Amino acid sequence: MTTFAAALRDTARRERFAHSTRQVRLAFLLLLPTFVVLALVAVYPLLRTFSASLTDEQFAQPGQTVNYIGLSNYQKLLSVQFIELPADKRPAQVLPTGYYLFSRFQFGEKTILVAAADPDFIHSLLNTIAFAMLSVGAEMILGLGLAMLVNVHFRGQGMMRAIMLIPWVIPTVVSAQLWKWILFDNRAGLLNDVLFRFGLITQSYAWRADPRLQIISIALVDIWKTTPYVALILLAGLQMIPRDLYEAAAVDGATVWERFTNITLPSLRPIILLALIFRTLDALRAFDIFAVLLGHDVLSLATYDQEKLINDHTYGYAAAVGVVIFILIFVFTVLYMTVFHVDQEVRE
Amino acid sequence: MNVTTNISRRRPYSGGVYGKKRTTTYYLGRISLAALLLLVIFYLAFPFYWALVSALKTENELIQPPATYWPQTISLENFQNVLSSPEILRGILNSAVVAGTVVVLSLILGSFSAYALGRLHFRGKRPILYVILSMTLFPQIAVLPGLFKVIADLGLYGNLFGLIATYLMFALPLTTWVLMTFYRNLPDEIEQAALVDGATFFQTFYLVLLPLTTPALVTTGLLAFIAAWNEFLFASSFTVTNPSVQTVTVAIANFRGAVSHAEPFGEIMAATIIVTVPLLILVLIFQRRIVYGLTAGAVKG
Repeated sequence: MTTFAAALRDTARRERFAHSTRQVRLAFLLLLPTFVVLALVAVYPLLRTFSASLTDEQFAQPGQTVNYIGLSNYQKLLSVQFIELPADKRPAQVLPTGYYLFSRFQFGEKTILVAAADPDFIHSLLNTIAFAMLSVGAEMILGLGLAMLVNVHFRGQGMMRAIMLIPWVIPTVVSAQLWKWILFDNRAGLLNDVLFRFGLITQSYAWRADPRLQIISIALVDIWKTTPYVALILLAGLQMIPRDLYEAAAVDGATVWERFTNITLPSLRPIILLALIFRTLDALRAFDIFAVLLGHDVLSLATYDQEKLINDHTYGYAAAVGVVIFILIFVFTVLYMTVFHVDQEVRE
Repeated sequence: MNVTTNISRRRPYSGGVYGKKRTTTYYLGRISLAALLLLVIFYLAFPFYWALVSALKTENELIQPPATYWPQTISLENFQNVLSSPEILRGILNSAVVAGTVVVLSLILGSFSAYALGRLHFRGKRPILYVILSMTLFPQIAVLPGLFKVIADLGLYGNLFGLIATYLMFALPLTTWVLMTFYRNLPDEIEQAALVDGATFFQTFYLVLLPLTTPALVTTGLLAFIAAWNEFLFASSFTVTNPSVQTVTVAIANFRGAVSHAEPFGEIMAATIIVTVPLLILVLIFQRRIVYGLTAGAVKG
């Protein structure tokens, strides 16, 4: 009797085992093509980027000797020094060799020079971070507002969602061209003309040429394009909050603000963070919008990298820039994930 | 019977705490909602109106400040110039070929891997999921230098196959991820029934699951198509030496017009409208699906 039961159990186990090994083999077969493709077009190129970043390789120069130069590329990229400028000297006299003036500021009585081995890179880094903070911050706040607006029941909600999709669906290059014209620097440009007609400005601004306005201008374009997208993502989260919660809170006499801070925000937390991560990473790798609207004047990390690669042919150096972007994005992701414990809340 | 019709005819809950009470506050709320919505629509849509109006203006009127909000004379010259521009037409054709091929390839490979990840049980699934998810967030620019070499080694530099291969880098993780969320939501009984009937895994996949997920394939295909159609970084990097394979985004970014002068905004606006209209139609038809696909990965399925 016992042996029979044991035999039965044994068979069942063996069957389960056979079943599972078959599943594992099938899963492997099904995943294989994806793995091969991704290894070829993503993982391997990434590794090559890493290894090239340690060399002085030039792009499209057959027959060159490639030297391994360790971390020199990174050193050049990231070298920044603060130097005090004595009153009797000019900046050029105090800059160390290989350094260029990046900017200067007053610290009490003293003049401090900021010198960098590659000021263009530092500029592109700061541009990218400023752009990311401006655009992502505005998109999250406006996006939440828009999501809550559209979440209210009204006829034509589907139509509204379609309208919200349109800016996102248009290629960034196209919307950038469109806004290039809107931001035109006299009153033939829409923005100047509208602001003028409303009496908000008295003279036209050169939105794309004025260094104080450049980053704000492209943030404006990005906000126009991406706020509705953020709103759609948040809307999906809003629609999962049970209505009874609000009704119960209303019965208990909670004000609109209390309902927002005690129900809406906590329920939305995981999806807000997810949208925040998506948007931040997108902003940090921004390429299209910088390339079309600001060209070679003002660079982002990505446009700087492409310029080093395609215009300057400094392959190893461009690879190092790529790795820095990769690490920056990686650090941001890990930071968000650990600070907010996103991985446990979202995805399953 | 009466009860059910009554329920289905009831107005949906209209939001807020006002419920069915038609107080002044309720109407004020509705009016301000409508006003805000109109404002948003105006903000989102006006740039397109502006592009259209600008494209219809004559060169002189266009660049003459202050701006006019309706063309004094309607001219189709800009549209004619764009439609007879070989760069834009070739760009549209190239983009269609590239995006179409990318969609087909990534749907085939993506549905395989999505099935494995969404339906099968095996160890190590979670790390694989994370790797694929992280690839949807990959900074393409970080891969660009290495990718140049790989594409050159494969002999695909400066041709459309090179672009198709590189686009799989973002299209394949995207389709895998979105399709997986669909597969995971199908009830287990479906395959069990098919297996009991003696179907093999592949038969189950092709004959049962794939037809069931056709809507998902359409959604995912649309997302992949839009991503490939809109791509600019790879397109502008890998077509430098061979303008004949430029995609539409590169063509529009580099567009200098039929008559060469600094920036022919009238023609650029006409090009913008021409590229926008097909996407507009796609969105209007598939709005619900696209939104669902966009949020499927984000919200728990």
